[in-house]
Amino acid sequence: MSRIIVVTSGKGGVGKTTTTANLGMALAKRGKKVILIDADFGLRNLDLLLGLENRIVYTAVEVLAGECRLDQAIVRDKRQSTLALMPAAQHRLKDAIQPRQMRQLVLALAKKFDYVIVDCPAGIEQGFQNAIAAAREAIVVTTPEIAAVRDADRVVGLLEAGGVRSIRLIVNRLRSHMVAANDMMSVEDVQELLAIPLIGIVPDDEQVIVSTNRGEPLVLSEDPSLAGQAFDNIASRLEGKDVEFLDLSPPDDGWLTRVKNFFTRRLF
Amino acid sequence: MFMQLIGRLFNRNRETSSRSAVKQRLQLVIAHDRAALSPATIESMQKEILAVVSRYVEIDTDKLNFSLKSSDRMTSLTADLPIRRIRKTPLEPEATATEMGEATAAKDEVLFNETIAFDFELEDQPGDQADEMPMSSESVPENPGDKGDSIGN
Ligand SMILES: Nc1ncnc2c1ncn2[C@@H]1O[C@H](COP(=O)(O)OP(=O)(O)O)[C@@H](O)[C@H]1O
Ligand SMILES: [Mg+2]
Repeated sequence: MSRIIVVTSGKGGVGKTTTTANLGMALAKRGKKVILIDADFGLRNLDLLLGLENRIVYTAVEVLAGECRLDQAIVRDKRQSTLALMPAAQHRLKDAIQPRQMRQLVLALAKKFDYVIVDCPAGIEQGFQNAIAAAREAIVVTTPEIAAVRDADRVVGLLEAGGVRSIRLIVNRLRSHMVAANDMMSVEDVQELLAIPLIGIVPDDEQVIVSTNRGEPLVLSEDPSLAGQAFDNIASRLEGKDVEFLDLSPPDDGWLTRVKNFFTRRLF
Repeated sequence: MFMQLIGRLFNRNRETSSRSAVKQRLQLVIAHDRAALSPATIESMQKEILAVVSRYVEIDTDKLNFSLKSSDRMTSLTADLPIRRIRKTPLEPEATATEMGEATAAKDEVLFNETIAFDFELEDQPGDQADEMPMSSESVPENPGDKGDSIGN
């Protein structure tokens, strides 16, 4: 049976699309047939992160309206032939689709792919309900920040109510030096609050922006940065492998740096 | 020895760090979100609990405290009810809150200086109340006895 996974968060801008693109690519690299569905209608950007924006002709809306066949809307990746994208409509907002239709679409795609990964829009309204309609598993992405964690908790509740059984957590944009200085929640702090199993820890990493600029997910790189490795490990865990979490703790600064930090913090 | 002293000096603000502050704020706000109870519901629930308990004991209403907390996807309502006196004979169920407030302590009542604490665990049931406004954190008094590592301690 194919895996149907929704990547969601509640809050916007925490890394859902980045996660979806990287996990899709990492799983495809392992030979899995993967389709990524952009459920962020009207604000699509999964195509950009994948570098596939110029190849979109039809979208999910045309498929559901019966204006094109399912396979006509599927964009296949040229770098990883087993990766595909089902784009969201960018302009046809008035044709708002229903959870029932989304379910139909996802289940049709599940027949052809090993993984169907749905990139959820921010919020908990219609778009969210659509995105989770057919999901059997969920990956909840959060950053170690107050609003993101609160929204993540809300979303976990809604996923449970929606019958999604497997819900796992990614803590994204971790800044370990801030955690060490007690200026950011640790992964353990976040996990304790949300009380769902952890599937990944991704550090804050400038390379995320570089890879976005190029339309090449981090995991494509021969020598992936730390965030790229983290995403690759998450793909392994999805595949059931027991991979250790990356050690993201900052090198011990020594007492001199601590003295310096102490004074700068006091003075400014 | 010297290094230890320095270390303690620099870690002194751990308790008041933004990290412990944010964790504490989240614990509270998440508990309220999960319970999805309106302030009005909380208030009437508090009143009823108080009414029942007050039939048996006299509560110090200035010091009572109800709070919501969450851990491990379980939300619990905690009621700390400081007891002034135990009533020898329980009041009738019909007795209203005001009557109980005015009920004078009889001579044979036992003086008491304890608090009873109730813990009501709620299985989280979000979803159905998705559209309800989250309770504001002011609607329930904070639990002063429950903040071992709180800011300013
Ligand atoms: N681990 C990370 N390190 C640095 N920047 C990141 C990281 N994850 C995401 N970002 C940045 O955060 C922003 C939002 O990411 P995105 O994946 O679009 O979030 P969402 O889909 O949840 O709105 C983007 O600018 C992205 O480059
Ligand atoms: Mg997005």
